Amino acid sequence: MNSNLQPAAHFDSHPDAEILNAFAEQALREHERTPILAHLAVCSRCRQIVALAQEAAELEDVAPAQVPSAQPAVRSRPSWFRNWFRNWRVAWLPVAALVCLVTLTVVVNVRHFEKASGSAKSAPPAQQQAMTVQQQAATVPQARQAGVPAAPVPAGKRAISPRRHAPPSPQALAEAAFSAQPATVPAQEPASSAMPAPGAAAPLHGSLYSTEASAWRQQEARATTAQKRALPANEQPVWAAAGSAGAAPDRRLDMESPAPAPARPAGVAANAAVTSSPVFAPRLTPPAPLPSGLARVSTASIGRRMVAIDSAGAVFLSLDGGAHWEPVARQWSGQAVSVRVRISSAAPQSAPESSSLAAPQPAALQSDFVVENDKGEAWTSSDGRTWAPK
Amino acid sequence: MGIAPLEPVAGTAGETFSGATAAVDAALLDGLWQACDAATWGLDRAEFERILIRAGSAQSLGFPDGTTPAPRQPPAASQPAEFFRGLRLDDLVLAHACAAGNERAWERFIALYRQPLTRAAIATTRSETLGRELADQLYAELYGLAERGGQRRSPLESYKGRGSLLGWLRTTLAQRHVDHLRRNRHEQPIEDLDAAAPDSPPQTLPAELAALQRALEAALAARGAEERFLLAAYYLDGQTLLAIARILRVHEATVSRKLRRALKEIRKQVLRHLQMQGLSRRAAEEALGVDPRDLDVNLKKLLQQSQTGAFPEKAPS
Repeated sequence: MNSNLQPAAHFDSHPDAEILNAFAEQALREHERTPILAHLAVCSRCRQIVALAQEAAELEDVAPAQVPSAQPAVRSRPSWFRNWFRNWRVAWLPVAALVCLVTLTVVVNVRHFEKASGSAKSAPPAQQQAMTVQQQAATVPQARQAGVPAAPVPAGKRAISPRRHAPPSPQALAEAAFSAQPATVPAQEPASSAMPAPGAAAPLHGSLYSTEASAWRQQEARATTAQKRALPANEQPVWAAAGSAGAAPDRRLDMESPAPAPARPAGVAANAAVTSSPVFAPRLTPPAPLPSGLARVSTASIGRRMVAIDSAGAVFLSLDGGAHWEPVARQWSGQAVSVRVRISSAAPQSAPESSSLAAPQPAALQSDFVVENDKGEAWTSSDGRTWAPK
Repeated sequence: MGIAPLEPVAGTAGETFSGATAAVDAALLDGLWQACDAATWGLDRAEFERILIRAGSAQSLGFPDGTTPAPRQPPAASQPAEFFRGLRLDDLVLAHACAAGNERAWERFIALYRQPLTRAAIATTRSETLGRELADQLYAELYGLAERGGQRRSPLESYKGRGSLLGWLRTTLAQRHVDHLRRNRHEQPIEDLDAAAPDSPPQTLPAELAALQRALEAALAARGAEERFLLAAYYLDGQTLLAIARILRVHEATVSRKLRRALKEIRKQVLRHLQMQGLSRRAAEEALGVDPRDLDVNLKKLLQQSQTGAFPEKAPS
């Protein structure tokens, strides 16, 4: 091949490599391009040269991606990917239209949701209670159970009809009740932050979307309603009331909290009155600002007892659902950064010997506040005033 | 701004504009000199200007043939400046610096083009061995190992910067490979599509077939250069629509549409010619439906005879 690959001097009448390459790279002007095209139409040799050079150029575009480079992060996409999209450029139009449609739908739904949430906040507590779908959802099955015909539900509320929800699980009810933040979030916070993703805002908001929540859920699933009622009335966890009422008190939670199961124990139905009691009224109104005047970074509540931490790390306690706050003496090291509620099972009470044949009592649930400092150390308190290292 | 008569330029015949002397406008030359940083490769301004003039004169500064500005006559427009600015000046000075034997330029050239050159050769020959051999041979030529007239000559001197240097290298490789194949056709008969059509012995054709042949010849001769290129590339070379589209830098669908339109026009013109030769419309349409094997029409010959004469092809010896 060596001697046969010498440049062919007898091809002087053909355009040279310069012109053919310029033609292939669209570097020629129109008056230069036309004669080349005319020549290519009649000259198979030059057509072959242009085609081979073009083919080599196409392969060269792919080759650098196969050669390991010093910057592995910058890699060109495989040729099949580019070819696929090259042949389906038109598909971008419907895809773009679809993306716009989905975005529009999401925006409209979010605005609708914000509007509904805002109207719930602005409405008077009494009206809110009247509007609370959870109450209807709770009372309807109870009324059915008692043989009383259910009151008609206004058409406007059928959008969140209990029929569209599955019966609640104890975990869901507890989550709705113990995620104390929705009731304590300042009104100026956006709706998106009012509904944190599971696990995202848990450390700051005392939510049960935490690692301890899963353990609690397992225990809570085994707990009975009677044990829930064993807690003092004023310290009764919200989840007990909410569970009996069939839903969390906040409308924002209504959208996610499932409706109660139609069949409820009689004792639970009796507790449904708690839902409309003033217990929930303070929680529908924004809590009072902290005495320090700083913003709350973490809040947790058990019943009406609330513990909050401000941005300076000071801890405050409220016994009336956030209406009044009192500072808590510092009993921990470092700076408190979060507070949450921990549910643990208390040791079963020892039964008297006379009743040794009675059925064993299941483990009772105990709720404590847990404060964590910036080093990850934790202190617990059952009343929010006296804290002990965990 | 542009080409201005200044002083004689050393060069071969045809490298000056219409045999006259010319130089690049000083301001334009300054701008181009700054843009390509030719001093990096050891080129002085005079050498740079000479390279530009040679590139411009070889391509008539982008003017249509016969409209090159007359000597000692200022250019009428800014076309020369546009022409020079449209050149790949970086590649141009690198190529000429390599041809002049600048070591740093060669290091740069090797770093940039050695591997792509080998890959392009392998892609062109579709053979690792042949590709490396072809690349090595071209590389040796580029380095100036071949002597002509007692002087080392490098093909890089013929690069004039209209397209990219890498594209020029690829095209040169393809040129060498195709010429090699065509020279050794009897050893590697892979180009049966391009085999010269043997002249068939004259046959007595029926009147309809003779009329059809004349109509086809007239219709094909009337087609434009681009349509004839499309027809030849698609029907004679068997190239795909995608390959043709890449050459013309248009979409595949555009090539398909143009081909369809060309066929439609050819059919229409053939029918018209047949009718002009006395056939009825029905007879003309029936004539189009004859078995092509009965038709002594060599489309390749027809297409190749419809040339414009811009680059009259000579058969390789």
